[in-house]
Order: sequence, then C-alpha cells, then structure tokens
Amino acid sequence: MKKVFGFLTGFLILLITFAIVYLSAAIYDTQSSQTVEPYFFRPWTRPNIAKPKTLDEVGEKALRNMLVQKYVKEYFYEIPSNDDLVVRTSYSGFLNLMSTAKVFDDWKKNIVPELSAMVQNGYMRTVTVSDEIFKPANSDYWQVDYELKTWEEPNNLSATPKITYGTVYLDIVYAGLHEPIEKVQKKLLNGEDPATMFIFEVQDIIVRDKQ
Amino acid sequence: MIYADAPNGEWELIAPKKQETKIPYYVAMQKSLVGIITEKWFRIAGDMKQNEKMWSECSRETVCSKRVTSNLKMTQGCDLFCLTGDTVFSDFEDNVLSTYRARESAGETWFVIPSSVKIESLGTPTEKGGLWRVNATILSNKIGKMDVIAFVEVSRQNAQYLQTLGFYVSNFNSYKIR
Repeated sequence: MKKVFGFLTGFLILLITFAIVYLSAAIYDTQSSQTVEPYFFRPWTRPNIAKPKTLDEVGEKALRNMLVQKYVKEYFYEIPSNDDLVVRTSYSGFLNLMSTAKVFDDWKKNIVPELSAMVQNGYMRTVTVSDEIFKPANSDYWQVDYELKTWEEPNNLSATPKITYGTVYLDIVYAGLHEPIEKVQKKLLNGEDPATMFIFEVQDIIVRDKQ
Repeated sequence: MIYADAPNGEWELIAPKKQETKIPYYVAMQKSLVGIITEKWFRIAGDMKQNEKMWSECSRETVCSKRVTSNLKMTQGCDLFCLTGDTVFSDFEDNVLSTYRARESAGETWFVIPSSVKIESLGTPTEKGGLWRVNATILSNKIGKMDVIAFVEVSRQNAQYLQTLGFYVSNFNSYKIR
C-alpha cells in the first residue's frame, strides 16, 4: 500500500511538472501583448562515439592529418553568406591563425575574389579532402588531393553540382598543443576553436587544379 | 526540464549534475522559424487548394498580423509570404513556383520528414537575427527521398512580422546534396 501511494504521489508530481513546463513554454511579447508559441524540433543528436580517445591514443599523425584536412576545407569552401566570408577573411579567422601573413594575404588576393563572387550568386561549394596525405621523397611539402563540388543554382533541386579536382602542396610547421591540457580544456569550454589549440602553421601553399 | 523566465526572456535547461543551458527567446524563435520555413518551402500537398493557399501573397498589414493560434501553425494562408521578406518571396515566385506547379500537375507530392530536420546556427544568433544551416530529407511520392541542405538568414523588423516577434527569413538558399 505504501509503495502504491508512493508511486501515485510521484506520478502526480510528474504531471504537475509537465503542466508547469507546458504552461510556461510560451514567449510573451510585451510590446504587442501577444503570446507566441515556438515550435520545437528534435535536437540534432550527433553520431555516438564509442569511446572517447585521449590525444596520445589518436596519435600525432592522425592529428596532423585532421588539421591539414580542416585547413584545405577552410581554404576552398563557400556558403551563400557574406557574413561568413567576412569572418573568414578577418584577422580572427581560422586561416589567419593557421597561416603565415604571406599565405593569408595570397589567399585573400587569389581565392577570396572567386569566393566573394560565388556568395553574390548564391552558390555553395563543399570540399572533400583525401585521407592520403603524404610527403613525397626529397620534398618539404605535404601533398593533399581534394574534390570540390559547386552548386551554381540555389533553390533548384534538379540542379547537379559541378565537380572539379585538384592537389595542394603544403609546407607546414606542426608541434602538438600550444599549452598544457588543463588550459586547453578551459579554452574549449569558453567556445574557442579546437583546431587553434595546436601549433600548426602553413608557411607556403601551392595549388594545382586538375582537368 | 526547461524553465522559461518571462521578464528577461531567458530559457534555462535544468539538467542533472547542475549543467546549465540557457536558450534566449530570440534563439528559440529563430530556430522555430527556420524549421517551419523548411517544412513549408519543400511542401507540395496533394490538395491543390491547400497549395494555393500556402503559396499565395496577402497583405502584411491584415492577414500576416493575425494572431497565430499555436506552434506557428498558420491557417490563414499565405504561409510562405508571411514568414519571408519580399526578396525571398519574389525569388520563390519567380524561380521555384513554376516547377512546383508542374510537379503538382503531374501528381507529385513533397513532404519533409520531421525527424530528419537538423538545425544548427552558424555564428552566434542575436536579437537582430542570425544565420542557420538546415539538413533535411524530403519524401517525394515520385522520386523517393532527397537530402537537402539550406542556408537560412533570419532578420528582424518588429513592425511587420508580428506573428514571429519581428523575425523573418531574409535569405533562403537550398541545394540537393543526395
């Protein structure tokens, strides 16, 4: 009897809680004296990671490759937003933080005008970077193959993307984390870009398009 | 559990281990708007009258300011018009509507699978608006599933978009990725 009473009490508390949440889940606009009920979608649940890995478990090579892939994506991607391009070309942008001043200026001079024209026309471009990142014998440059997919017609779902391929050669400096892991954790909690926690700088880049 | 603080408009998620996630009203409102526009933009109903109602243009002052009954589920018609800026709606009328009418005439229907809708902000949304990326899957009765990505820019004009606290879609670009 005691268990049944406990169960009913718990159930009643649960009902009251849901009622309170339901009744308070509206936004009241004092200016127009109107209540607006937002519509909620299922949160995006990211794919499960079986077991978190430490930096040592991931390994130096995999970390360097991840940073190279991120760099090449940042170099070429484009979304239809002028604000996004403004951030990327600013001094706090990822590419500026991860490049020498000359490489960043060359990117702004050679690549950004094309990206800017694409933004104005509502294009979107995605970048896929090969997993095979290697340094050929007798070379100081890492060789990276990539694929660009460019959608040139927004809001036309019959349109197919234009696909092009190329190779970049990167001269990089990489030396692991900037700071002890405790400081990195604090920075991550403050919302800083995880990639900028590493000593990684592109000192020269050569781009070769493939036909 | 979400606690909504009416005076300052902040939403607070009360979770175990004292983790706190605050959802400001302008984020909740913009996210709602982005989800709704995605559902409506890619919707071709089997009922032509329903489509006509959803795709038509109305007066912003009269029809678009009518009180929304619940969950932004509009019933007065002109759904897309009332949620978008003039440029976006013109783009829809000029470049999208003719292909939708052709599909409608051929008996094709489109429906966004609700559980496929994934919305993420790009940058930090503010009380003036924000940029959002949406991934969704459309189900067509003729060609099956289509995965799309859309970039939705939200802006604010308090005097014109009363149903959404002034927020409206000022730019909408979508692409079929698969």
